[in-house]
Amino acid sequence: MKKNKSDLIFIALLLCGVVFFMFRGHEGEKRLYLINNNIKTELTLQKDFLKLDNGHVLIETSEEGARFVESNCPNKICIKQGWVKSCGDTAVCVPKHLALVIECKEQDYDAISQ
Amino acid sequence: MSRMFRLSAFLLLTLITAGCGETYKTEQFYAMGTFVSVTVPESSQNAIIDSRNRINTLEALVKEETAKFNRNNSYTPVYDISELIKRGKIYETLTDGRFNIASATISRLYGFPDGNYSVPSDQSVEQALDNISRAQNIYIDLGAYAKGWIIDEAIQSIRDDGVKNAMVNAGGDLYAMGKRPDRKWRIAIQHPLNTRDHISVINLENMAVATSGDYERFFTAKDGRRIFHIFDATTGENPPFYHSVSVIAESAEEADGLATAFFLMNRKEVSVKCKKLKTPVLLYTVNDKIVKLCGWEDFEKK
Repeated sequence: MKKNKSDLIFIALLLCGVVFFMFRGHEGEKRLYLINNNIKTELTLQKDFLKLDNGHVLIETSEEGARFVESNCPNKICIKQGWVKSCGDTAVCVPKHLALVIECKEQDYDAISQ
Repeated sequence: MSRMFRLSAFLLLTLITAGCGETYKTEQFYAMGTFVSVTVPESSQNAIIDSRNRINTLEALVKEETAKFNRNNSYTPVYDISELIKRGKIYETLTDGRFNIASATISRLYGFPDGNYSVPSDQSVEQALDNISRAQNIYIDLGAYAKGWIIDEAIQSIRDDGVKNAMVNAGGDLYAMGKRPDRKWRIAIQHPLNTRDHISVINLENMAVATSGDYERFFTAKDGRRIFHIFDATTGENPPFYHSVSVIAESAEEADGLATAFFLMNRKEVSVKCKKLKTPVLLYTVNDKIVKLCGWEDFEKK
């Protein structure tokens, strides 16, 4: 009987461990990427600025996400798109072939139709 | 002790396999004037390469053949492109001529798609309309549905690689083949005025969705008018009804073409046509109303 009880405790602990392992890094673990033409680079989620295209494009990053601050493209759509913060958020500058993307292991949506 | 280990090992295995399932990988690249993302099971990486090659080949073919036709209207494009051009008639008929692949004759006067924007004289627009009606000295642009066709072809190449579940998304026009391990593909439709918000979430399995909007390619004229890339080929004007139109259809080409065709029709006309075609539609009107037609809500259910 006593052995059965220790079995149960062991299994319960194991269960907790497995559940922790499974959910760790799902919603919480988000990664920020910059796609420049076809090259995808991970950016660090920390306060910083990044200049691209001979200084014509300025990207701001923070602990939460990133945004386009300046760009000499005609419609400034990438700037109007604001911060990318949540899983699946994207900001795209089509004329410059640039995109900022937040990816998570488990995203709310598989795609956004726009 | 051994029974305990057997039991715990079994539990561990069950939980891990149930929790993880098949993992998917997405690759993004620039093509067709937008970012394309291809999502396939992690074990099918060659399908990404094959679909990407297919997209690049067909994009070049469309560009090359339309350029040849635009230089000389008596040129007959290669079979695939001639067929693609013929299918444009479907949308032309549906809209009583408001949709026309030759509306590029008008839009180029405004500077689309290159971006050297300005408002042309009324006379040059009249001349363009006349050329379109006589099918002479016209410029064609298959952009309204060629992207959809290329998505369908990319999906076919993935299918040929033996993959059953995948998604090809070209700037929001997409085909969702099969499903995720535990659910259908989940797609959010972006709010046309607030890009961080969405106006609907749909679940797709072996279906396509495409959205046309007035907010991605546009410029503001000197008189303050906002001019976007879709033109009515009978009036030479921008259609006045919507900020965005999304369509669910069985192929990406149909969804893509209909999203533009419906953009040119008023709400009443859209509701009649979508019923006939059995294609769900989501409209975001210029008066900020969200209108769901022809069974759109059915796709919002999980």
